[in-house]
Amino acid sequence: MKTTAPLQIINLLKTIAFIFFGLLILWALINYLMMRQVYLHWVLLAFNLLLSAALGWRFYKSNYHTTFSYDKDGFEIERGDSRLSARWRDYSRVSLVHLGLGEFAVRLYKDGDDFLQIPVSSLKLNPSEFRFQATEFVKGQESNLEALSPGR
Amino acid sequence: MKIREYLLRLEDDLMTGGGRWVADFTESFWELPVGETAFDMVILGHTRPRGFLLSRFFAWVALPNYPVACFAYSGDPELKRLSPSLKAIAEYREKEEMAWAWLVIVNEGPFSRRAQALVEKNDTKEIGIALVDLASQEITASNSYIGRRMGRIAKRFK
Repeated sequence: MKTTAPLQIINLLKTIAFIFFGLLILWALINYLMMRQVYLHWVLLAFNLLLSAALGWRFYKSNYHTTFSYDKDGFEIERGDSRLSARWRDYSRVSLVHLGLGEFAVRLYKDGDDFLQIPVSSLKLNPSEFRFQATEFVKGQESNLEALSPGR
Repeated sequence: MKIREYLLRLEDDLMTGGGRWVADFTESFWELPVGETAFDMVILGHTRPRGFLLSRFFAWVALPNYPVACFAYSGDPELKRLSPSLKAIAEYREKEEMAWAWLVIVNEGPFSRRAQALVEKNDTKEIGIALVDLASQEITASNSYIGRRMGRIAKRFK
């Protein structure tokens, strides 16, 4: 099975920044309510940054980090704490979806409008090439797994 | 330029904002059967662009959100498949309540004079047709507003 699990640096930085400013606001609020002034020091900011990095990493791993493994028979997708494995032949149609801001996903449709979305841009796979490869897998044709290259 | 290469360029261009003044195309299917015919590529979208913050709010308030589509097929210089394709598109439009649709017919050579005249005379408001000759990079578009817009958007040779 081929596996890809790239670090989603934007999501990680967003998480860390959100926690950093959240803790900072919380600290300022508690200070003001207890002492009627806000105490700030670079040591405090450095500690906050370290704490935010640790908490951010944990939050990122449990919510955003995606691991995708696949071969010609099936695939397994793990995002945060949720995991799903399926066979390509369970799906009948494949589409390429633009999610905005240059982010693409590949949708696998079962009969009807029920679909599963693979976030190919986050996984650093070439969206267009992966779409064609997934189409071949869904049709039950052989495909060269090494043919995929990163980026669009 | 080969047909597949052209269609990939058109798809990439439409999905990353090439048609944003007309519609926001978001989802693309290849080799999609529609009714009794099959299209090489079908890209679905909406007339309301997504935008960001203010532009998104403005679009949400001011613009209608009708579904639209761009259909494409290839290798039909005599337009023998045109009639069943238009019928399939009309049925699909009605089913999905689409405002309008584009039909792009791509060929690695010239279209017949009869085919070009047929498309140039077509002034159907809801379906814009464009014939793309990849050899001469010539585009013949139907004579409706949607058709003329497609004629400009279909120039994706570089």
